Amino acid sequence: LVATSDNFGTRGERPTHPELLDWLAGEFVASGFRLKSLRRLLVTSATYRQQAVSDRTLQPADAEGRWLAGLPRRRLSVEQFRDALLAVTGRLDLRAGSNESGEYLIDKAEGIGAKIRPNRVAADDPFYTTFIQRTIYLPVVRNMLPDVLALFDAADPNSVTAVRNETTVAPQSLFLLNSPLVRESSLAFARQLLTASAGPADAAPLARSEEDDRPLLVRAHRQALGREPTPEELAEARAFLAAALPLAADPATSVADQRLAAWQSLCQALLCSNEFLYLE
Amino acid sequence: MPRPTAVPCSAPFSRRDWLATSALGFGQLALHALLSDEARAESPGQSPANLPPAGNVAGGDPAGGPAVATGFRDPLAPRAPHFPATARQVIFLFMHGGVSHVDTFDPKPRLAELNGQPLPIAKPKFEFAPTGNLLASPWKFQKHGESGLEISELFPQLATRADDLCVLRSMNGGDQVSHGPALLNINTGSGVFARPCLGAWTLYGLGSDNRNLPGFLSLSPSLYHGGTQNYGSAFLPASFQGTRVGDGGTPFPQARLAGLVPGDRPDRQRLQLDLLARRNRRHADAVGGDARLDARIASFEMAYRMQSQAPVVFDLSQETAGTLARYGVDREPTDEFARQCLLARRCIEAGVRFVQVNFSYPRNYWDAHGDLRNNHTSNAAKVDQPIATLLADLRERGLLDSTLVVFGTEFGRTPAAQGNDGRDHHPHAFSVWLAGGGVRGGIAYGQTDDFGYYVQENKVTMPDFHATLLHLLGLDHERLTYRHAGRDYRLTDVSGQVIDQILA
Repeated sequence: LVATSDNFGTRGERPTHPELLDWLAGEFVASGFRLKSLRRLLVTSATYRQQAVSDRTLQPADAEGRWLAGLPRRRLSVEQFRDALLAVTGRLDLRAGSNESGEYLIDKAEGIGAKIRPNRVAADDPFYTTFIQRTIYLPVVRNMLPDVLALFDAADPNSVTAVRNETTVAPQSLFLLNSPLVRESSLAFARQLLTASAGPADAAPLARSEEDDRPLLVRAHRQALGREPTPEELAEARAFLAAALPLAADPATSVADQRLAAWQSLCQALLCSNEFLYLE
Repeated sequence: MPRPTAVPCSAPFSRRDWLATSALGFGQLALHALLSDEARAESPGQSPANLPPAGNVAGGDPAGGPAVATGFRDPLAPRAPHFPATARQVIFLFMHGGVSHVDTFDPKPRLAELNGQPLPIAKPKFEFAPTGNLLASPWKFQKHGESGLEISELFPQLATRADDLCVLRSMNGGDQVSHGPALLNINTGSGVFARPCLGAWTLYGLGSDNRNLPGFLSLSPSLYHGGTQNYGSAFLPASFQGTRVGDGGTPFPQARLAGLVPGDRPDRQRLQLDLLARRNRRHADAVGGDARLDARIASFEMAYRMQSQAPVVFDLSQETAGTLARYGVDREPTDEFARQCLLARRCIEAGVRFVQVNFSYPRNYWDAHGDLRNNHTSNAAKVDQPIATLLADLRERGLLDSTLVVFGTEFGRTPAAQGNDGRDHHPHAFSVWLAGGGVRGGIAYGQTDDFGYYVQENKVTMPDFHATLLHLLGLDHERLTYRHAGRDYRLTDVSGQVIDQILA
């Protein structure tokens, strides 16, 4: 409600909805200063849960959306994105906390002769791309923000950040295309789909009819995007699989593995899509 | 007060209006903006100083603040400097551990005369460790080149480039006496707080000419002493952070650019990107104009191009055997740093804005608390030929005039001995040098006292140093600001004087 989130002083801006701000402050006090309650109140409100609107559809009277006629399309934070990635692909380990992860870093640091200095474990250490608990449990080492966090605009752990920047640059896409975190998650997703599919999926995979893939594609869309695929998307996905399977032909790999690789690639495309990253 | 717009800079014309009537549509526009390699400078009025305050880049409010993204400006698009620049690109050779000034670029005959005797003036109130009596340099100095610039025998090859060098003998690192804060100080301007580094500020100010490579590379940055902060963007948007190639613990021949190793077969990845682009295109069209979505579509295409083109730049085998030998590749002790310097030159040729070349912990460092002679002899032997060749090579290719080469270190070393044969950390006076990029060659600026203990004349503080580097790049250090936490920040904080005397 105040655009200058890190400046409520005289140089900051006035709130857009002062009465609402007062009311929220009153609720906050009445709840016994409980931040969680306040946050719940905010995120369950009708205003917050509005569908995203595009600037194209905003009325001239609210061209910047500041009056909350609609909410902006929101990009998932790196924590939300990483958690969502692990969750929809069935990899997320929901256990809370982890001493093991901190211990891993310390052990690793000791292994490279750095004693108790986990900041000397590199930012792209495999640990950071194989850790599958929620991101909130990913150890943040002050001077060694892992690539996955640094690339996607996580706040610098050394300073106070009211509002994160949001950047879109090619190294992020390289990470999404090539990082073991995304590749492994896509593979888990594909494996899960193929394993769950009815019938002898691996018996004659290349000969399967288009209709055989339909339930898998529906399931993939539901799981990753929370909706049914359109007929156009179904056709497109089938065309992709048809093109990718012969590509994958490699005498060294089994037919089942080739099929899995094609599906892995398809699943990864869903996870890399704007629809997955941006909240409507 | 007008509300800041949602993006860090405003379009010179209404692109929404244009797009409404354009047959190309958003995707083509964003693709073009992200991929175009030509220097597409903004109009002069769009200098960084005019960027609206940030901390409000599109949709970045996790609490779902009211900002609605309307436009997208490629954060790395080339931007015109504040005024005509003499340097367009930078190679920062960072010497980790603290190079001893009195043994390299700041000759002190009195130190030899008083060898083994107490320092006749007061030592600093605080010393990192107790030091003893004065220690003469084990190395002789000689005048070199037409300029007669004095350089010690530690750098015989570099000495042949003496007329290119502008040695700053009066550097002062303030009170940052240990490696961590001192590294942060020279790289970010603050040894205490989290601040964007020099390379990040440069990229923020000027953007990048080559869109198929990161605009700011840090080769073998140390994980020690501030770690990622030394090439990080702190509160500047993440797009300005340095991209790491390897780290201090990894031998450089094994260093890789993160994320560039393809995760899948190229043919399948191409099919996948086509599928992804079609889906994203349809999604963007369906939800209405949001340039962020178009930018992200383009970023995947750019990533794919980077993946195929960056390895070409990184492939040193494309150089002639003569060049490789000249740098010292495939020969000890120069191989590793030769590869770094040669890669830096290739990156400069390819249009990378800022390349930091690190000679760094834990495998390489100048931190000679003891056995100064072996430490500095060994380190100089590793870097002398590669650096000298880099300067010569840049000169021959016509790149030195527009490329600023900086040789820096976090502090000097005490003129008094630590133990019998070492020197301690010394931020009170030390030397760095600049070459190319509009700097006067063959000069030494500033002066220390007879012993090299304190600055006597023309003190260069870290903000002075940074202000001068930015000036050479055409950036006014007082105007290159970024609004964060309620105020405008600069690399030079609240001080800094450009050293006019060293400008060519």
